[in-house]
Amino acid sequence: MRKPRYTLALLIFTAFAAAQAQPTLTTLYNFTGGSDGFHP
Amino acid sequence: MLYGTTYSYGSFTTEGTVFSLTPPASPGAAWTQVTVQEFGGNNGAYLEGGLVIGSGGVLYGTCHNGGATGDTGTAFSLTPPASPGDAWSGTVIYNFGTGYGYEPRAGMVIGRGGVLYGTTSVNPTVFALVPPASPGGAWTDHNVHIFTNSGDAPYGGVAIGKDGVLYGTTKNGGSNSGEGTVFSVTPSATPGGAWTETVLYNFYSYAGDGVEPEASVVIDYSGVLYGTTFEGGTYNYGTVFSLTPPSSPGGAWTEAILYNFSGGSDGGRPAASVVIGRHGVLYGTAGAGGTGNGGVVFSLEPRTSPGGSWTETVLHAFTGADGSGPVSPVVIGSGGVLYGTTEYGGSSNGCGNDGGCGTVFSLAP
Repeated sequence: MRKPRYTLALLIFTAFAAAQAQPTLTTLYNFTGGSDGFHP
Repeated sequence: MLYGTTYSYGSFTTEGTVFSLTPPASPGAAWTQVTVQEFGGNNGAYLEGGLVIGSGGVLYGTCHNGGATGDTGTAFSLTPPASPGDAWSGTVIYNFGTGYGYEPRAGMVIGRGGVLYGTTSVNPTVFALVPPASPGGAWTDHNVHIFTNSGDAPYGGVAIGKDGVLYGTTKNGGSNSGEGTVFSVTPSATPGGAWTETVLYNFYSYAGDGVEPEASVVIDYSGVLYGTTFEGGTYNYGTVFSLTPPSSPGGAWTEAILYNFSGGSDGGRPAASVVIGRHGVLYGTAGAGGTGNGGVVFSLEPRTSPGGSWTETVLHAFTGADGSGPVSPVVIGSGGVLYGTTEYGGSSNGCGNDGGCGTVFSLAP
């Protein structure tokens, strides 16, 4: 039996959505232990 | 612009800082850190809590130690300069230890009239610092509540609810083996009258309950309180809980555990309060666990049907190089971006700690 075409499309969409859902972490500042202090 | 505190040395003669972090003019460039104030000695030392921004952009915070009365802590204000780039003006507005309580471990909140409310961890109190009637005058300390058992230490400050009622937690104390409480203190209907403390919930009310909360609570539009416990729960790695007010005055509040941390990939040991985002989603940090073993930032989505479970999602698991040990709450910025700090980790161990000196991070959806 032939598989419906939308199955593959749904899988691709799901994978894309999962990839998009991962938040992006950016380190804005690394404390150095100098005059900037440390352990915020 | 972000403002924050560090607990430890700004240099070898100081003990803690307040810093600002300014976003770059163009996306992707570096943020600019400026040390706004160094602490040590009479102006205070070792900042454990966050800051609150008052009228005119004045920052208010607390120091756990230091001060003029025997290393028992201070409350301070930092007034921004008239011209950008000039120095901020720091003032000790109160030396803890001159009154009853001392050694605050949390920041403060601002109530009506610019009154600052907070907690002290030794000789435990909920305090109010009332601003002077005229500029330059002295701030006045009022003990809103003195906890009768010295073990009832509130570590997490207070939240202000409807009609000026303050809500908070104690890490210990309470009627169930001293595993902590959630309390309220209600202002008197008569100006100047005594506040009334009520224990809303005693932790460890049943096997598997959360215990030992270290953070304060947050309040949603309907008066439901949300918070975290550092320990307890099904796996003893802490919980996120809700506390729903009674349907009629004087009734019992209803506690529910929304999530039990396992200490595994989902994180564990939440030490900070949660924040409430769009659609009632809770966001928070847990300092332990995660796939990188450096703690996590998590979201907790409300149940979709009555009696259903809340869904935890790990938004980021810290690995050390990108930070480690988030023990402060996140704040929600424009576009739903979360901002926070990690106590350890990052690219520098110049503080003499192999675990790193800590970071400021953003987490974009």
